[in-house]
Amino acid sequence: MADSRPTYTPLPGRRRGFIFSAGLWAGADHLLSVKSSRFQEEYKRFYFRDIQAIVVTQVPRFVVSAPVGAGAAILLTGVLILRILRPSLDAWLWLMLGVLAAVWLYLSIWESCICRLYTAVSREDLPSIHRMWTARRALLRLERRIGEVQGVFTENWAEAADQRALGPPLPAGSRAVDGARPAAARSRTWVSDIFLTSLLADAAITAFLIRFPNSWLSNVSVALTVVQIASAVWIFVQKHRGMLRTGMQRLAIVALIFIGGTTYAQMVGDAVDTALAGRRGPAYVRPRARSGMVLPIYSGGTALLAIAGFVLSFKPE
Amino acid sequence: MPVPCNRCNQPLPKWGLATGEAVLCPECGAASLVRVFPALFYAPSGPAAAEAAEEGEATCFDHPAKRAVAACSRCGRFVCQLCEVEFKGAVWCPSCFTAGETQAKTPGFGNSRTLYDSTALIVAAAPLLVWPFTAISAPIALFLAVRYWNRPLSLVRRWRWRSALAAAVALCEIGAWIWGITYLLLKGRS
Repeated sequence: MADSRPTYTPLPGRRRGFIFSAGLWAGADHLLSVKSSRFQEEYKRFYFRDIQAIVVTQVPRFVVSAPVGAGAAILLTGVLILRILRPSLDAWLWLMLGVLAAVWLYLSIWESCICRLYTAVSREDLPSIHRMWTARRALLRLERRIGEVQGVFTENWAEAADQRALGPPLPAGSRAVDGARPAAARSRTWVSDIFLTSLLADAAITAFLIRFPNSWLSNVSVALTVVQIASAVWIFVQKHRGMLRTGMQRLAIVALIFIGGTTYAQMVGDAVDTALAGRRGPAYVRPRARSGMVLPIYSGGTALLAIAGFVLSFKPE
Repeated sequence: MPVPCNRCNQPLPKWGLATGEAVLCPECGAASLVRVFPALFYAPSGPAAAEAAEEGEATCFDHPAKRAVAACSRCGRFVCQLCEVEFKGAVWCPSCFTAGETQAKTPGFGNSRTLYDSTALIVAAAPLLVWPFTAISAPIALFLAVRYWNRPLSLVRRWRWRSALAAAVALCEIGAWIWGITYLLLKGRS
């Protein structure tokens, strides 16, 4: 008996993962997208006569975007603080940072392009095409197959394409494709106000502590630092949602790096003091209060950041 | 609606599309390769609600006079409002919906397949890391490899080497267990 199963030929591009993989195959009259999870394969068919467009977009690799940079700054700050509070965890913390760096490297090399296929009623990503050079080879073969079925354009289509509907309508909530820009982001929100107020309060308290050391106020300063870190994270979320302008996000990143930097400087300063004093054995590290040269630097820095933030906040939108 | 960028969904400049080379998105700066096909001009040009298809519009597979509103999640055929069956969160065409349970018996059809050969191989090989588990996993792997030997494999893969290898590994594991138990029994007797 003749085999009634359709014959497929592989197209360039194949994604192989430890669990998930994907491939693209050409049948007699359709394209078959295969997604596999070791135990099961899922198929999607796109008939050559229905394919409206294929768009392959290059994605940047090894990028330290604002959220990644902010995440790294927060982590580094956390690690530095934990190193002071729990020196025994030192090796584990560096190991964790190393693992996170490896994850970032892996995600960076994961794909260099996104390939999306449009029909009149569907919009599908083709995960197997994840390298530009593979995409070019696959496009070349697909163009030929689709051209055999649909024919080719005899005149410039770009002008006319503006008037046509590409793919199904976008779901509610996604960003429109009709050229309309998303709603304008604001200069300030209640989160940014909390962030800036805590910075200013911290600057004032630290300035007071230079002349009048007080353990209770030192604890308040530490609590304000925690508020700054939390509100900075929330600022990233608001920026991601398009509610806040980029300027405030950048200020939050600088503030986090500054907090991390002063914490580290405090630690190094304490170690140097101990070494100069000629003491042997483990160095005594002040876990909470800032002291010495770090106090005026921290006070001045946070005051400057707060002023810059208020200028950004009241900049006309 | 112009061609959108895959990263930011903002429209790509049409003068760039006309060149056929990579187009830079004015919003995110990403370079896109765009290939547009004549089917774009068969599609409805607006959100018209009328069911009857006009000249050049995408039509239902079973009703060529009616406008297509969705694609079957299983076979990919276009369906009109009448034919569209929504079930378990997916759109089905009437024939796929009727075929239902028989998909495994229909070669070259269906939207998913269970890969018994890969499952058997994983069940046979993975427990080698914690070898005592092979006492349970080896018979299961052998059962899967033999029981589903004749089941259709993947739509695009044809070779049964995974099933054969799974059966071989499982037999070796079972053999090792039998040998080990026999050896211990004989040693205990002597």
